[in-house]
Amino acid sequence: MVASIATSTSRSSAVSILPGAQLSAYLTNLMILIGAMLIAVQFRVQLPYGKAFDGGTLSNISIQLQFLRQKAYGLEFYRAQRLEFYVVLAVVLLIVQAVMQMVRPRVSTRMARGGRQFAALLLAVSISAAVFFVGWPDLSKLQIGYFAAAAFVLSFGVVFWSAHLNAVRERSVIANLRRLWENRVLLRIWIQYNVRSRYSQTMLGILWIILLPLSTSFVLALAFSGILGSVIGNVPFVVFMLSAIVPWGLFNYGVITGTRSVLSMMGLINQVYFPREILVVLTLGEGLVDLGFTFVAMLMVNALNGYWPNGLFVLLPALLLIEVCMTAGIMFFVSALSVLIRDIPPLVSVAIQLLFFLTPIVYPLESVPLKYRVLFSLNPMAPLITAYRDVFTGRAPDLSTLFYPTVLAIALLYTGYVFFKANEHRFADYI
Amino acid sequence: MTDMINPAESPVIVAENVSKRYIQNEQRPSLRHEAGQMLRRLIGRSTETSAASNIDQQFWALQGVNLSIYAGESVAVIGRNGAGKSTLFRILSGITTPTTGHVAVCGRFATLIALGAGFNPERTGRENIYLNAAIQGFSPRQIAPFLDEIIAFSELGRFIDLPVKRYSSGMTARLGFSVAVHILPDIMFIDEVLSVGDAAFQEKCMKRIAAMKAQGRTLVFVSHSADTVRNLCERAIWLHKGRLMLDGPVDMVLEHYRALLSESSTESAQIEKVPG
Repeated sequence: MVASIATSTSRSSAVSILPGAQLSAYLTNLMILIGAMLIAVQFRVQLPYGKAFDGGTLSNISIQLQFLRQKAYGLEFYRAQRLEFYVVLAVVLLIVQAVMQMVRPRVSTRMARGGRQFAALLLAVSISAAVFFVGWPDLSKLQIGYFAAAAFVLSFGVVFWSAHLNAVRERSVIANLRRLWENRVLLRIWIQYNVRSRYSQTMLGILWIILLPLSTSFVLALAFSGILGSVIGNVPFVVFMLSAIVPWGLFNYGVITGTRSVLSMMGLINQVYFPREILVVLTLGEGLVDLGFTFVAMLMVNALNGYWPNGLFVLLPALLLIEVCMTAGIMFFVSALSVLIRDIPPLVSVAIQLLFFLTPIVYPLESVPLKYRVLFSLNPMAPLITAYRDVFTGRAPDLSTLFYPTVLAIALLYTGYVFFKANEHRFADYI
Repeated sequence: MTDMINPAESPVIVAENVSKRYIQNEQRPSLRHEAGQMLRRLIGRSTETSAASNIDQQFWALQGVNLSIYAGESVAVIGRNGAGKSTLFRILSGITTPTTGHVAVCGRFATLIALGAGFNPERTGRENIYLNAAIQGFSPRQIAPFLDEIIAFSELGRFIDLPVKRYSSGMTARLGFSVAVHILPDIMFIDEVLSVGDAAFQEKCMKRIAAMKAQGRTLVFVSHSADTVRNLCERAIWLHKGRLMLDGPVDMVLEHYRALLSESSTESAQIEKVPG
């Protein structure tokens, strides 16, 4: 089945940590810090120097928006997402980890490792915050505070919630990926058969995949066009809605089905070993196939309304890649957590419903009251979905808003994968 | 793929001080439990202490098992129900990890624990051959030359192109077994699955396994049948309540095993009935 398999436990971990494992720990910590930095940036955008923008005196919404856009995506925004910040984080963390690696005692328990990783993160946060404070005096103290708080919350969640994050890491991420690549044939066959058996039973099978989002958007269109008018800007509401709900469908399907992707295969997991992340990638693959069908349906409806494919469609692969990375990252978290904690699937479906209405799908981003915009800026799906809609309706998207979802997607994908692999060996015991 | 495997000097399966503990309150995790664990980890108390402190809630399925199996050996694992045989198999095949100790397995292996694991009921038998082999790590290209042989062995004939959901449980098991014995792994874990189909099919299975053994493949299997054990294996390992009692030539181990069984009470009646 595999060339070799070696498992060891935390008890026998007196042997020195492999460079690969050390690198993985470094990357995990770095991703956590970058995620925290991004969240701090998002807060900063909405709350410059801690004061919410008061748009109430401006009567015309378009003037308000213009003002807000300048404020939000102008000079300060670019300053906050300058590359230097991330370089500082990477270097500080590298030094902290190297020093801690040198001074750490030889014998370590599972607890000591989790605690050490946490300590390394907090130390790196403090030092980086000090560097930001001295090096960029125009940065608000509040933003540095946001950064420290977000880093604390994220690292607490990631480090402490996975008891075995570093304990049973006998393989590096690269070795795991190589193993996944060796199993690509299984993945191909599995997706092929699952998709075929889902759609080949009846002709209505494929039809339903197209009809379902269409009917949903027609129902929502009926409900919301009364409130928002049948035309948004100068875009017909159906086009407006479909251009957002179709890309949202992949995220929705991935995360909702992701809670079941490992759980529904527990019988198989208990009988044979294969890299478990295949189950997650399998679900994502099925979601992508669904997306393919709905995308074609959407193009047809849009064309009927006069919105033909345009030159901006070259941006679609990039947008899709960001969405796939983000969805996969969240799927790794929810699929592993659903096995370990059975309360997760219902929580996730509630959260996704909430997120659906917090994402500008049935309404334009512009119609959100300004005081709530801080919530929207933290939702990485909001700029992504807006960019999709802009592309489909022939408007050039604001690419600078995509910085946050892109980097967060990479951070989520990496930490999610590490989290999944660190907990994978527990699955069979949690049946 | 069919060429002989040279028995090597170094063992292909090594287990060092392998123990497996199951904790009952961890079997049914909840958000409340997990949050408690998280807090305990934060304030510096290891999760080990909380779980291990309650002795009633833990169960050692295996304790300090040491084992080396060399290439070409065929080894039977015997023992009463609940002796830890299946847990040992699960650990060796990487399905679960030991609580303490270390396991190493070298070479391509296949597990015959439940036949037809991962069959897609909507797809045909033929397609499921490819799927089942792929789950065990064998690509369609590796399987294609043996396809006719697999179908012939399973005795499914024209039913091979029917969806597996229409198969009887016997047909499904026969197909699963045929795939497993034709993917030709270096090491094969077989867990009490030799009671497939009718007597004639069982006979065929035994012959096939004997042929695989003759090719120099390593076999490790669990069986309650003393006949099977004696026919196929030269070495036996006796597990009792998670501990390794005896490891040696099959006749010697069986003799001691039966001696203990006859000493113990009526619980052993089912095993004593087995002739041999």
